[in-house]
Amino acid sequence: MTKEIIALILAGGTGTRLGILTKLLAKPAVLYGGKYRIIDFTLSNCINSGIDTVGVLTQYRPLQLNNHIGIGKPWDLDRMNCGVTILSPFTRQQKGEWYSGTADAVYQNLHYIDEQNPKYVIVLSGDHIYKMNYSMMLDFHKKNNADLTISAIQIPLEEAHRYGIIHATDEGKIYGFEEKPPEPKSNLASMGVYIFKMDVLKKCLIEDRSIEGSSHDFGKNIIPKLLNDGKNLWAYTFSGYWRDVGTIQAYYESNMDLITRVPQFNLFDHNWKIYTPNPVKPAHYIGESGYVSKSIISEGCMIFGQVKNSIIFPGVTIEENAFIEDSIIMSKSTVKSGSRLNCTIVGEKTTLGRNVRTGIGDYAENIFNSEIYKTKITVIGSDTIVPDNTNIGCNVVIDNKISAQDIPSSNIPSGYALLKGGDGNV
Amino acid sequence: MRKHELCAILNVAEDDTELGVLTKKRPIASLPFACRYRIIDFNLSNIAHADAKSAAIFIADSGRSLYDHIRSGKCWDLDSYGGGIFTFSQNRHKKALYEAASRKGDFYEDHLAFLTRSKANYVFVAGSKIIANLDLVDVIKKHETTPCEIVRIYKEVPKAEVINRPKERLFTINDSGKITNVVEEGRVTIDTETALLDMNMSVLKVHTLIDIIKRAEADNLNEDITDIINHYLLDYCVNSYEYKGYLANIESVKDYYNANIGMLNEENFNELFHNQLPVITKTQSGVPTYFSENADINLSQFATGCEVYGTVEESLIFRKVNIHEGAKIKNSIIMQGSRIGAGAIIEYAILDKNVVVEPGVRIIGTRDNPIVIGKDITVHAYFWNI
Repeated sequence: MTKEIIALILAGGTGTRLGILTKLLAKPAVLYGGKYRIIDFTLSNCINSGIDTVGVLTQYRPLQLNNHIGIGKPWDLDRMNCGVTILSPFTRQQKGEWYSGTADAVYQNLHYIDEQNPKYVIVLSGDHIYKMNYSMMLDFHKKNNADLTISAIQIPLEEAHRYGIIHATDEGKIYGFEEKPPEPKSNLASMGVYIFKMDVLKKCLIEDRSIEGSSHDFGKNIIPKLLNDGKNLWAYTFSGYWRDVGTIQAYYESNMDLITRVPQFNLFDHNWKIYTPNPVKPAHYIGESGYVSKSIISEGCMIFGQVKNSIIFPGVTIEENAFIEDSIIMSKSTVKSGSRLNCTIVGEKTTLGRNVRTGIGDYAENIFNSEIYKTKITVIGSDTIVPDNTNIGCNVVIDNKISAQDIPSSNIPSGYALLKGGDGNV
Repeated sequence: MRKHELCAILNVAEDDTELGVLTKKRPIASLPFACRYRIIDFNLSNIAHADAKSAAIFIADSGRSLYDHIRSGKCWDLDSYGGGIFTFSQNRHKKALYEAASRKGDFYEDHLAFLTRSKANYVFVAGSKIIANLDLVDVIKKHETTPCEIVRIYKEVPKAEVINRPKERLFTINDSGKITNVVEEGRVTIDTETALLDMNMSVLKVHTLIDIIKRAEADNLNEDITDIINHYLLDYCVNSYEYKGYLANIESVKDYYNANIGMLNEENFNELFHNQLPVITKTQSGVPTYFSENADINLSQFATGCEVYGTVEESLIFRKVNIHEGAKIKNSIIMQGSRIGAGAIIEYAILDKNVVVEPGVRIIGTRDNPIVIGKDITVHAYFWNI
């Protein structure tokens, strides 16, 4: 039986603007929302939309991502004649090469698409937070007999310069496209969700491959080329919640949207569940001294302190008299007694000692990288130990795998960066 | 341990009349426990951690709720080649049929087929009422050092815990740990400070169990497997193994209530779940639980998927429970999928799955007599305001 549609998820991005959060793992594998990884949204959208054949293209630091996806069981993608396949770069008889762009990554896996032989291919990003029914977009695609349909969303004009901007008629017929224009004239942004006719995709990827100087990118090269060639391109307007959590601020804010309960983004929706591997942990325990308000808490947590406006991942321990506010604490971390956290992201398996304070004082520019770390959010990496009585300011970054003796002083001022050399492998 | 060294037979066909409506449509083994588990998870986890590959489960009735929970056994790694979960339902019916026809001989056919095909050297046999996180690898290690055919597991408990429970079986053991006597039901006279409580769990050599079954057949004894082991127990060399962890024994509604509420004691909770091997259960895609700004929580446990806007004190809240503004829940157990309306007050109650409590309803029991609301019931305001 031929398949109507298969999905390819681009999950190889480095996500550099997430700083130390993506130092050791790919952006789609970054933890999100109290128990998920970012890619769960795209994978769940696929299965909820009836797409049961999914290729995940990985490249940058794929270990956690591969472990997470496994054979696809949590998403029901461990079926007999379909399911999830991890597509990593590979060597050939002559030579091997990395994926050099989004379009190149798909080109290098054309054999996978051929093997499935679908009528349509949906190309997705693995690093966006949204709930979307792709089958409705496919209906739109078929109705218009489109060669390519791009899912688009209205965004504030002042942010438009960061996106691929679509010019389309009221019905959605695309007549222009600009990738990250300095002076955008439309606020209709591409969400990086593309449905192609399989033969159109194949043909343009093969052609693009041989174009000298092409960056082999869907936004920069493929879409303009198809428009030039007079193909039938359509924009499918999506009006739900969609976030590109590409920066620390965007990531933080999107997490916080879950506790301010943005109405259109409800993870409790039984008709559109978001799936993820479930930890084998007991229920979370809130002790007599514990206090929880406007927060989400996952399984296996032990809460003896106070938690306010925060996101707590599985297996976290918050000791007595600790106070967590406006923060994100990832899996299996411990915050010891007397600590006060404010506006802080804490990575996995990190221990904050007794009486550690974060978010103290006023904002200061980050000494390491003021492009990545440019809000008052303090970021502490995974597998890090912060010793007792450490006072940490705002906009501080403390790397992954920092041990107590790496911390130079018990006062870390706002804007400070404590980074480990090397690539983090050892 | 070698793959297939251990297999298990779990008898979940035990008497459950004292649990009333809670076990009307499910055996004790599939009673929900500690927000997200079923009681059988403990024994399934115990055998999984000892690398058991096959388990036989003997069920009184249809076993629908058990099948729904266990499925292929994958969660406990019980779906490997050559192994698996083998379920035998309608045992109550079968027993009645054999009795009515005075049928003899092949009552234990299923047991024997399972045992001979399991390729195991040891078999773990247990009932379904005891909750314990037991290290079976250690039990078998002990078994290997003695010439005994059976190891029986007990826990030393204060006298007060068993004195008013005539159904409990107690042991006496000699200096070398061999079980010398079994004090059966209703004959409890204890002159020591502590008693050795039988956990109805044994590890036997497979050929010993086959021997016991053959004897039961010869004696025309058509009983549950745990009962025939107890019947012939003292004819064998029985070593004892002391379990030191947390134990709960679910005989009655009160036991069930106390065992759950007992999980709010941090020490008990850690002993059962955090300090031992993990207890495995069927997982579901639960959303992290949401607490609103006005949620007021004191000493409670929550599974995933809950939305909490009200007050919860000293209670256990299972998956997907909604607690609306102004609702107050105290000393209660609220099972999966229940919805508690605004301003409702619930104290000392057990709400089974999918109970709907309308706004303003008051359900107030006592510690000794918790109110039980059966599965899928809607409690209407006009009916329950007493």
